[in-house]
Amino acid sequence: MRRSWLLSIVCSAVCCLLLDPATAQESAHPVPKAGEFPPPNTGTYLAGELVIIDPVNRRGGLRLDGNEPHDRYHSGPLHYFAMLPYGMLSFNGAPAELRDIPLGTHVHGYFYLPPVGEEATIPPLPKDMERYEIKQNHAVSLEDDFSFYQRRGQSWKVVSIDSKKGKIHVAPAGQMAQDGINTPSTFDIDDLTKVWKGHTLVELTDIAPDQIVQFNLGWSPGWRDREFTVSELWLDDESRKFATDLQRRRHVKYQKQRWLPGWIDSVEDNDYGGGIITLTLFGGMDPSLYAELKATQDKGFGVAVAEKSLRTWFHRSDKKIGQVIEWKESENPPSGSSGIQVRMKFTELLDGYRPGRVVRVKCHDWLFVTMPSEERVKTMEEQQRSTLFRLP
Amino acid sequence: MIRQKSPLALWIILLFASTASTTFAAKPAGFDTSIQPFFTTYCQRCHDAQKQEGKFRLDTLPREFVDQATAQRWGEIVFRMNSGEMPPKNEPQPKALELGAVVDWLSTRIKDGEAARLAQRGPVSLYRLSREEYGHTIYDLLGVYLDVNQPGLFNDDPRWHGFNRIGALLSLSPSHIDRYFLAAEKSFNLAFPDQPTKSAIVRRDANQGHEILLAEQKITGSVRWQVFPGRRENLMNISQPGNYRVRIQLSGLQPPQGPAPHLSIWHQELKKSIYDQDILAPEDKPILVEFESALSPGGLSLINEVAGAFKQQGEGDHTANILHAGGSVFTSTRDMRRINPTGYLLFTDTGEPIYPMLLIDWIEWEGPIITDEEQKKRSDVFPVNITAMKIDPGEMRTQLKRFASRAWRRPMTDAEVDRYVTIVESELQAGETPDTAYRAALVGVLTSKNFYYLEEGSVSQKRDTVNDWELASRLSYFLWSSMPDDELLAAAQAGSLAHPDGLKSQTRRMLADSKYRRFTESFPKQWLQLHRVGMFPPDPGLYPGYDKWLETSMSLETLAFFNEVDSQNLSLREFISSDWTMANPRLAAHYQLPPLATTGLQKVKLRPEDHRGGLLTQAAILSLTSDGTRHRPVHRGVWVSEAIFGRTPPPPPPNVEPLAPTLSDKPKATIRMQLEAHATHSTCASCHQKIDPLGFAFENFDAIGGWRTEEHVATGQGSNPLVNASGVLLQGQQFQGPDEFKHLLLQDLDHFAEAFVEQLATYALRRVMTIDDAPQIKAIATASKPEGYKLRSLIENLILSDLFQKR
Repeated sequence: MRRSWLLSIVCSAVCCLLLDPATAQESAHPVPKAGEFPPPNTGTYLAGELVIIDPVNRRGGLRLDGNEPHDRYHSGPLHYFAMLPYGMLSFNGAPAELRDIPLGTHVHGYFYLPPVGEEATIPPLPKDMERYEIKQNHAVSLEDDFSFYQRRGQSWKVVSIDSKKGKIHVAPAGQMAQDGINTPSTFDIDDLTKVWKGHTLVELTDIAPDQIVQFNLGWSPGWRDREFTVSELWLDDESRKFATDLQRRRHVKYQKQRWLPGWIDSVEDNDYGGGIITLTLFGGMDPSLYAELKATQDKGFGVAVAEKSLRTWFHRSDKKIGQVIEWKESENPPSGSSGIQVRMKFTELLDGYRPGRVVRVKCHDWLFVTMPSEERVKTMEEQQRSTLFRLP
Repeated sequence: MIRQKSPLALWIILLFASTASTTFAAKPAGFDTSIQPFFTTYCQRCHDAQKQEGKFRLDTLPREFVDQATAQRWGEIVFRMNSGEMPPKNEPQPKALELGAVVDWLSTRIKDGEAARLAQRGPVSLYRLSREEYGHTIYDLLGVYLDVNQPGLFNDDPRWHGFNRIGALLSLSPSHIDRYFLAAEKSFNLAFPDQPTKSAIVRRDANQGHEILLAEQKITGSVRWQVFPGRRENLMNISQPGNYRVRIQLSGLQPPQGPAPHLSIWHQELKKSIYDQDILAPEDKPILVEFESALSPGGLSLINEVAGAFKQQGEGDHTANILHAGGSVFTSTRDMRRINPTGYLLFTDTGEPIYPMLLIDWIEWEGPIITDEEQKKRSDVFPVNITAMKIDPGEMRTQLKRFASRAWRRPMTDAEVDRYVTIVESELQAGETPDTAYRAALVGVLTSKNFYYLEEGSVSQKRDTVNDWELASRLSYFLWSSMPDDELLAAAQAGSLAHPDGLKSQTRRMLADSKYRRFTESFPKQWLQLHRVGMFPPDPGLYPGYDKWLETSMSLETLAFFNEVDSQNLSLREFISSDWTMANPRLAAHYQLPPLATTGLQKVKLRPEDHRGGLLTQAAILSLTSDGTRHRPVHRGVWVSEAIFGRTPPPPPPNVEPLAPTLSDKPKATIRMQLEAHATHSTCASCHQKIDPLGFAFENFDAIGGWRTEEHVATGQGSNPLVNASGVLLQGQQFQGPDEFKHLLLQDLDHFAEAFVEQLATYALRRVMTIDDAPQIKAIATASKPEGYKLRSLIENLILSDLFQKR
């Protein structure tokens, strides 16, 4: 069992004592700025079960692991969060949307304080719950256990399984993840656990000691004591690749319909309505999508204005098409960035083409699709409403 | 003293020796010496008494051209020679110059004959009012604005070389009678409506209805209508016709690299703009625009009319419309929270406009407004003692006579009064109320020929000159395009117009009257054929900067230029060349002049490098002679010939092949290069030698009057060819470009002055000038020379001339 949450709070408190208040706030808990990706390794790690989601606006609520502080499991609220525009999600080892992650999935995230001007996006907790409030509520990433540990090179070696007691004993294998669980652990397991081998669902009895596995966790009656249930388990590489590929395909289709998100870095040379914009594509997408854009850049890209939630208005009609002047890629981009920067020439600019504003970029060859009404922003009132997360 | 002919004069004489008809052409050579030898050599072998090929004899065809039937036969001969049909290919062929000379000679005689027919006057001459004059006359008679241009009221008047008041062309058909009846009824309904006209002030405020939203959103300031280029705000609705005072508070923001925003108020029913103005006013310092206009019922839209702002079509509409949809609200460039981000970017982050922008706070219109002067015009039309039950016969008779005498511009005779009294009586007997019965007689007065015709002469007495009443009308329709006022009628009554002093005194009074503005608008429009401006709208692909406001500005420049020459009593030479013009910001940008700081037309000093000055290099003139895609040098030459020299060249032969686009594998060629190849054809060369130099002088101007040094050619190989604006006149004078050509024209102003007097007289006397009028025209020009051909002097000398009083 880990105490990372407590540790981070303690570390933050120590840092605050050593630095002047403003600097301490900036260095320990940076506030994301429009047009800038946060410095590496600065987010606050939090993990918990995904309990509610607003998939259209990329928001949700986590029941955090354990019971701290103040008997939170029994008396406290969920930790409500919003994904930052460049916030990345993963599920089953592939890029994902919030809607792809089933409710009840245990996830790991890195969180920041709200960007300036967006403090109200996640409304404050009621007075009687204030003591539970964690101000870092804008996520730069959210991953299920499968993705989180696999990406860090950590897997699990089955030590033993006791079907009668419903327990599985595992030990971390490979590289150790810095956050999350990285010590030998015991989890609940039962006949509701989906066990995959190859492309097939198999039985608990197919689990054997020394197998290297990945799994996803879920709620357990002993949650307050940081106990979890294995909800889904992959016994071999083939099964893991199969799961990843299924999610990857879903993700690619989704992005081709809604286009790749990014933001405007700069706007230059307003030539009686026209101009050049430079934009950076957000990270976390399947590499094939970036490759397709790059390969077709000569045909120009459509660029639609989007909200911070990545929702568009009526992207197939309100986009403008620009010609690509320059395609630039950088090594080791910051978290949230793809490292791809594109300069484009437009004969006409939209009001939303302003530095720091979010856009979605369409490859010429992708088919136009009209999004359903609930995904589109249709009025200024709706736009304003969508900036606030409504607590259940 | 015999004046020495200048080289240009000689050239002009040569140019029109065969085509000119009246004023300053040399006497044409006789038929027997010039034409008969040609016919004898090439034609009469087959068309004489012995051999009547095609049952046609040339030897017996009368040598005269006034008779229409004979003129038509001559026209057919010209047609067949011009088309190459005659002489037949197997017969001896004339040389091109020989053929050209004969065609010219005959064409000129045919034109002379047409002019003589159009100018023919019987004992009584009737000149119908143009619809423009009808409208002015109704206003001056009843104080109401009758919109004569509204659809369905009147037809467009036929034109003769731009003039729409030529009596011989203004015929009358049964449909005209019906329209005059409707127009008369309409006029009286406007002047005397069933319900008293209630004037009201209506105001529409952009902020209205947004107060709660602004408070909720904590937005300071007021909502403004954001009118970007092409945006149409349907804000006004007029229910009662009449004169309205319109006020608009707005800002006009000009982008650093774009034109000024342009406010156009568009009448949706009439489909025309009733107000146009560039607007320059900072966002925080809106200005108040105020104007009065006669408005007929219908909706009006405020438009920011600037071309070329939004480049993408189709989706562009969505991007523009969304700026006003879905709850978007604009208050200030400092707070753009409520602007839909998927609409066009209209302002930079620093609040600078990207496109020309109008920001409208409110609009207010007041009316219908009836002035005391207008009310006075209606005060003595109806008898004072008329009631629902009775009308005093004596008073009725007096009022009818007074009204009809004003309307008919001469005293109504007792017999005429009797006829109209009979109308009232028969209506009363039919059970109509006195008011309705009397109104029927009034409508009768306005549907009488005595109203819509200017009548000169009388059946009983042969007269060569107009009488006092006719002179008063001639004068007022010349200077005011309307009926004489009471003072002019009184002068006619008193006989003082018959004396030069009396006539001069009235003329000067009339020139000082605000109604004289009608002349300074109407005459240049007709003389210069400005109705052709915009007739072929330029291809937006070739001329993306062309828009309705530029088109309007072009005509406004020419009219304001004429008005300036007139009001300052400048010389006619200004029409040929000047170091100034009248421009607004839109036109200044088109001419690449330094930007103007203020809106509206203003006198602008020109530099030599501007290549402008005078009428001939104005965009209106240069564009009216072009079609939608290219300039037309020949049309320009013909226009110069007609408007500046008063001469119409012969029409082109019927089988002329149009200029074909340059083939893609050939070097690019200018229109001039193609024309020069064209003019080498024997049947074309003789005419083109005369016409083309007049147009080639303006090769530096494209189809919308923009300056250029190379001609854009869409097809062909290589780069665009350089423009060649040089030319050689028939007499041998050479010129390089428009400035030298204008200089040549200035060297001999006398001939232009005579041509100008001819145009002025055509307008004033409502008939085509003939060779018989030439000496008097020359005399008027000569009398104006000592003062340097000042425009007002020419007008006064025309009015005081014998020609003006000649029937």
